[in-house]
Amino acid sequence: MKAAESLTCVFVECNWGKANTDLSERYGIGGYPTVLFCDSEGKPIAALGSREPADVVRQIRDAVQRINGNGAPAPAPAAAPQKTVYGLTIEKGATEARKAGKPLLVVFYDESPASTSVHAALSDDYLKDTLAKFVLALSPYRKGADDALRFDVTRAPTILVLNPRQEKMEQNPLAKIEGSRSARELKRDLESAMLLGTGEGAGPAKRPGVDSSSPPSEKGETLSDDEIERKFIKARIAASLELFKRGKKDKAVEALEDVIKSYPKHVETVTARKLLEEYRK
Amino acid sequence: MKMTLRILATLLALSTAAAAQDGGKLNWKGKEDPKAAMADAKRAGQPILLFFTSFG
Repeated sequence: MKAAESLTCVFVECNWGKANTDLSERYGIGGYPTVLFCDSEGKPIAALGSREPADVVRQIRDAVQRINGNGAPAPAPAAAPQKTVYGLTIEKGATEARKAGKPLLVVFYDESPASTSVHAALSDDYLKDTLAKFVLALSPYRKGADDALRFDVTRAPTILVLNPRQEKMEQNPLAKIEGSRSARELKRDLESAMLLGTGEGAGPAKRPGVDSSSPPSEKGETLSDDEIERKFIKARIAASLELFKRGKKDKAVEALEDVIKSYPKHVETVTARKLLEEYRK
Repeated sequence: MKMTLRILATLLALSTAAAAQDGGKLNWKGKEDPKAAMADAKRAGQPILLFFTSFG
């Protein structure tokens, strides 16, 4: 039997959280679209990672085989994704990140389908190059646990992008990504965080396409007009990212267009243009 | 708009993947009542693909 024909494909229209909320909550859905493979009892087995047709075929076959076995009754569902994502503890990760001059990526996870989805995204080859720019740490999420309190994490999955050079890196994360993400969505979020992180000295990487030779200003130093403009542009970009994360795409685009219009020739505006292109893809 | 494109891309990927399996078809259910479709799958002992989306 063909794998696709042995699946019951159920279309769940969520209407931005206004419809089928019980199903969304049950499966921990944090973004759309999200595709989950479940056994006949509705227990999640795996999440769709890559959306390349060839990969989708493989994932459908694997999921159906995993659920059905060889015609035998469905085995107990395995929560783990197909590939294992390896990461350090937070403390070791921070040490390694400081040595490597890279931002630290901390993934808080649990057994939820949304965590499975993020896990699948992290193990997707599509993210390989992006993840190479970070040091990865994994932390199992438990409500009220020390790490969750320290990093102000209240749900799983949550991904934090941290600047390990900061004394209290938990107080000013470069990005906080909550809920389910596909590999493509995660790549976009992480690349955006990298842009911000570069501006804050989280890593040695230069902004794409920009060779900024201006030395960073030191604390207490009087800011030049250029530095004030830089700070303003970065703040507007950060605000735009926040708006985008909250689903206010129009406002996010407006903020970037404002930057581009106000500072068309400023070197920092390149970042705004690149981000605007990402939003419009 | 971007979200709609992403949803359409996923649908396309799923349908392409099904077609690639020598004519396999994805039989979409649940547009009216996803829970009823899941109950049908349970009765039939069929695995389920849940497609959470938001066209609204």
